[in-house]
Amino acid sequence: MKNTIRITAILVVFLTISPPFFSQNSIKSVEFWTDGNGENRNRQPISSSNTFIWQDEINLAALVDGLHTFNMRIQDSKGVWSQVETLFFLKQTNAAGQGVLKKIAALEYWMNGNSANRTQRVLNGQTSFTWEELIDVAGIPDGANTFNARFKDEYGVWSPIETRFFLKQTNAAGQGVLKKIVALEYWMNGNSANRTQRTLNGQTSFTWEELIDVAGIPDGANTFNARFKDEYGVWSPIETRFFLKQTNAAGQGVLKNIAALEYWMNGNSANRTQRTLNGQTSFTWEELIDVAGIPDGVNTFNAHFKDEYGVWSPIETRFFVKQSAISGEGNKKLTTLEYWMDANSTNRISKTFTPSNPYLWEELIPTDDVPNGLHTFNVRWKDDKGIWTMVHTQFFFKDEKKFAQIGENKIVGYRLWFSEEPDYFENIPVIAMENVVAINDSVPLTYLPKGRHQIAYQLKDARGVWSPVITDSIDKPDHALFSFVADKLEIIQGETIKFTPSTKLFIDSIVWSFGDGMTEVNFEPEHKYDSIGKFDVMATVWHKGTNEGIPYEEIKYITVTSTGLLSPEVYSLKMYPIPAKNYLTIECPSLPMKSVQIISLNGKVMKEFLTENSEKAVLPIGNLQAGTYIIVVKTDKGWLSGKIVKE
Amino acid sequence: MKKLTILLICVWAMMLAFTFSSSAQTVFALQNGSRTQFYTTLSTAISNIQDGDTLYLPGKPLDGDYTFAKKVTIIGAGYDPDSAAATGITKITGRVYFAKNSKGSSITGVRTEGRVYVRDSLITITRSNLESLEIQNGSNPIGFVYVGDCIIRNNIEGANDVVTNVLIERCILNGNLGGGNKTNNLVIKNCVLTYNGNYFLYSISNIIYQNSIILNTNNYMFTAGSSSLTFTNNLFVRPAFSNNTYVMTGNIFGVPESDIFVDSANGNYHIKPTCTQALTLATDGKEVGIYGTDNPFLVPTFAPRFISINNAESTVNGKLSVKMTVEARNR
Repeated sequence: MKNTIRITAILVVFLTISPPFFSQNSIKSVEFWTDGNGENRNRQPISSSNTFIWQDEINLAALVDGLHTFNMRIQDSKGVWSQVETLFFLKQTNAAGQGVLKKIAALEYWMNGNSANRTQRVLNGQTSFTWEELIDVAGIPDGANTFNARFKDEYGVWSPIETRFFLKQTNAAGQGVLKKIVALEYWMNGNSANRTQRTLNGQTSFTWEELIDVAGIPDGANTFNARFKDEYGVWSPIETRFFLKQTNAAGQGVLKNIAALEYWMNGNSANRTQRTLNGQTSFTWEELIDVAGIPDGVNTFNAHFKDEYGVWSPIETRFFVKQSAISGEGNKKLTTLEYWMDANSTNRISKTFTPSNPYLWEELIPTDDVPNGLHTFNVRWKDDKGIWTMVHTQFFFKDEKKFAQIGENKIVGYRLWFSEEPDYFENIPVIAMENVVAINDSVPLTYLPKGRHQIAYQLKDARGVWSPVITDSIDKPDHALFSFVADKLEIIQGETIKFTPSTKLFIDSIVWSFGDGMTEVNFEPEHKYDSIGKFDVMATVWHKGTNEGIPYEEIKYITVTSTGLLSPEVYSLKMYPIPAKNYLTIECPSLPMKSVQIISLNGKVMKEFLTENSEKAVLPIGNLQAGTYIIVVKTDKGWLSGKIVKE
Repeated sequence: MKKLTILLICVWAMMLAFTFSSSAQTVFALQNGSRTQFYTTLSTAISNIQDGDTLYLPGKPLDGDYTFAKKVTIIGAGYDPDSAAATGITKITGRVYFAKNSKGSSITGVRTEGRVYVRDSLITITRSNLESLEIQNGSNPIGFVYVGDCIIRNNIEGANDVVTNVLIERCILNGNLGGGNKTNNLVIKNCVLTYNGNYFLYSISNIIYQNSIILNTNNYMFTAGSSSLTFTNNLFVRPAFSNNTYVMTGNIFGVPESDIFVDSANGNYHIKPTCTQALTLATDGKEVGIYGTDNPFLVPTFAPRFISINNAESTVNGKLSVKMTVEARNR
């Protein structure tokens, strides 16, 4: 169809003019226009004639759809115009498509009533569209289904919906699944009654290449027909191919006999070996050919065959490599191996050993230089001919923390700590005989303030691996033990005393009252006494997270005397050996000792003894960790203190 | 002046009194040798990781997605409620990313509700239960990724042709290997593949299946688009199949699933004593599946484990009773 609206104007015009000139007048031209567009009218000259039949295709593409008028008039040879003939016509390009060759711009399809989820596709705007596609029907049920599709043109007009029924049967009879080909049949020409049947192995795809004997069919055009059956007994349509058999024209088609062969190596066809054969239709050739006379390296072996008609086959050429130096089959022995890890072949380890075959290799390969994780171990072998094997690669996984001999690993301890003092750990050793151990400890927490605390626990094993942290809450119903010492108990007026708390753990602040009316907030204050007398000292401890200050008081703790009038009594401790190892001897000849405390530098009371001998005490300290400790001796006069080093 | 100081301290102490919580805090420990730091949020702990640290995760749900961009060893309390009964399991509710610069990192004893993304080399994932797994960093080559003794509930994706040397060993794979997986030397070894949906083996190449038990019998798009797969000494429920591009050696086909496992419906993938062919089928002469190899499938991690905890909740006479049954792991 042409891309125009055709208006076929068939006008048979008979010219009627005055009698004296009738036999001489003719139609000279025609004019036409549409609607009121007379000023743009088209004029066409006509070959003079007194009758004019006008058939033409008028291009009306520029007109809008709707009702129009077609107007025309003719002019005679005298220049006289006829009256205007007017015809109505309707142009409809959009509503019903007449006249315009539309393009298919889009399609939609859906299955069953699922138009809400229809698949929409934009097309390239073709005047015709061939649609072949495998549509996935996995999501629809077995049974009768409908496939619905419609197409849209460039004007946005949809075609009616085309609906086709189809049956999906994935369960009942195997349609829809990938079927297997289990048999084929073939025959030539119309000889289906004597078709050849063959059972196959049940494959989803089957490639068939075979030389079929056509001896029994005549020369000329023949047909080869075949069809295939699936596991469900369904046959495919018959595929038919034409072929030409020509046995007489040039010998093709007749099964010939191989009567002779020739062979030679490289380009030495002049000295080729010729051999007469027994005239067989097929010939299997296996022979050890002497290659002594040819050089090492790449050579060619060439052969061709002659039939009974004297026709030689094309020359078959094969390359082969002669390696007389390294070809010695039979008694090769392994001599060398190389191994490396990961991609580190440039640093591979090479080992040479006494040639043997086979060779048993057992070795512990150190992996200190490889990090934890997955690696490859690569090895290859060389024989005494210098030939290497392919590289054998296998994965290995290194995790030095992961493995231990069965039963070897034990829990060696655990630690606990509190959220208020995350840097202070209570490390508790565990003595375990087995992998699984029941811990039943009573852990002194005298430094812990009264109240509720967040506690954390963590285990450690012999490899140094820690467990995840578990947390809990505990309540301490009693106040923490606390004490303090002064570096001097008796001073003269104007001297300074330093006070040291037994612990700083869990303590937010300490408010000191020195008894002379002076107070200070500090952990280890140094206070100067300007008054003389005996002074009570009180430390009010505010623990972290509490709103209660706990007072600890030493009555008449500090004695301050006036300068120059009195000779103050000096009390001293004698402690030895320093550093001490297993025992510490304390002597206090000037004051009777009541008890002795050994306190760590963080204020924890490590040991406490009641002294049987008020002047001398020998204390076992062998199980203390090495470090510096404060020795606090309680007497009637108060506390005496000193420091020792335990080695 | 000092009296004023005392007043302020009293007020401050009173304020502190109301900050205590009655429930136990969550503690994330970040350790490296003798250095130990504790954090109360995982995101803070992660932001303070230094290369070589070990991060201990508590047995609690941990909300959010987490990205690791340093070399870190992550140890959770375990993913199995039975073996982690004393502590609770460590569960990350979002995704986990081993991003660039996390090379050498490892994670063990964690359950994830989101995907785990491996985007660097030498990443090790063990004794974990993952929602799914992706091994890829676009066009950047990565490799030497180890996944062992894990459960992967959905697909393994992404192993494209610049991902090399991936070993998935002794895992229960409930999802599929997503199309496009074609890395060189990706070995699925001694696994149990339970996926029975469509597209099994679809559009994958170069994968090596070895010593595994494969339950899939779904034929829809079974091998479509796949090539160059190697199957060595596997046990199949489906009948024998072949493909010109596959290498198939030593496999056994057509074994009913009901004949293989002790109680697969309840997650017991030990092989029945009557399934004798599976007990020596593996290339090492041992059984196929997750309980083969020299180191059969294990759930608890290699870290020391709490079996029971009965510590006192209050001190008596200044002492705390600590009663726990604990275990040192051999592996």
